Amino acid sequence: MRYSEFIEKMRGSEPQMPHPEEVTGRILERIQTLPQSGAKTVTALQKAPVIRLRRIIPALAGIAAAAVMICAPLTARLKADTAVRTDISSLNMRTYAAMSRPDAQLEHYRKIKALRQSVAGLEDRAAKPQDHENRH
Amino acid sequence: MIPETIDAARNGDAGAFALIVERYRQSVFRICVRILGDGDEAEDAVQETFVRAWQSLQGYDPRYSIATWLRTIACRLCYDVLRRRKRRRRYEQEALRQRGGDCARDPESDAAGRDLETLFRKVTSALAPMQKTVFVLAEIEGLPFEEVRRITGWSAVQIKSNLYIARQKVRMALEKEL
Repeated sequence: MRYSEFIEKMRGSEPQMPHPEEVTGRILERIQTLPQSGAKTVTALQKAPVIRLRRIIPALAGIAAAAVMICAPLTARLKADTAVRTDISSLNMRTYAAMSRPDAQLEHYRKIKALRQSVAGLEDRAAKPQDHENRH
Repeated sequence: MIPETIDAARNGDAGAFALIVERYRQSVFRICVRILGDGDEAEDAVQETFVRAWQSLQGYDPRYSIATWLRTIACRLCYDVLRRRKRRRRYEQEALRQRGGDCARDPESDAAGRDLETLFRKVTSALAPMQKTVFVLAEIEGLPFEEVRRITGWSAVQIKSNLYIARQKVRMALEKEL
């Protein structure tokens, strides 16, 4: 059987409900016990969130108490620190000023270059065999 | 369905609601049995669909078809059942093998119809819940794309990709079966 043929057959067939009247009866029986649609009566389903909220309240209170316990000492410490805190503008700026001189980078470069040259010279001397006896 | 009947049911008339149940129970059952693949479970789903519909009739928008609204409730219910069942797929396959098509237990229905339904359950047994739901709605029920989107609440991309995969799987399963 080809796919399209199978789909056509499926569309044409109608699976019959085994017990239609029984199902209808059960539905009607169940809706009798349920509140009619649109009724404003309070049901167990509507009560549920309130019950959940009541259970959540102690937990929320506990979390709030814990937050207060942590925050209170921190706030006290912060207040104490503020009294002795120094303004950043009053710090000694000499070092910073020396580093920001226009020729500071150039001087640094020259020092490094001289150091590299001396290291290269030492390496070069170390690599060559030294004949001290034949120097004279 | 006559709008007056729907209005009466919305006002709490159980008799009017019974008329709605009688009018739509078969179409709801057809979708349920094809998504769930089990007659007993489908009957339970039909029952649950109408009970939920009764409870939320005030939320029904009369601008849309009540058939679509009932299909929406039924489909989402069946989809949830499929997702829960996914974990015990092995047991389901075992039950399917043992029952061998007891969905169509009506003695009036012919053997050819039973065979077709059994074949359908076999070739769709490997589909994921989303694929199966989309396949039944779009391919078997032949519902327009927009209606499938409204019923499932899924995006167009989700529907298209799942339908594509479902078709491929069913094609392959059909070739294997026949």
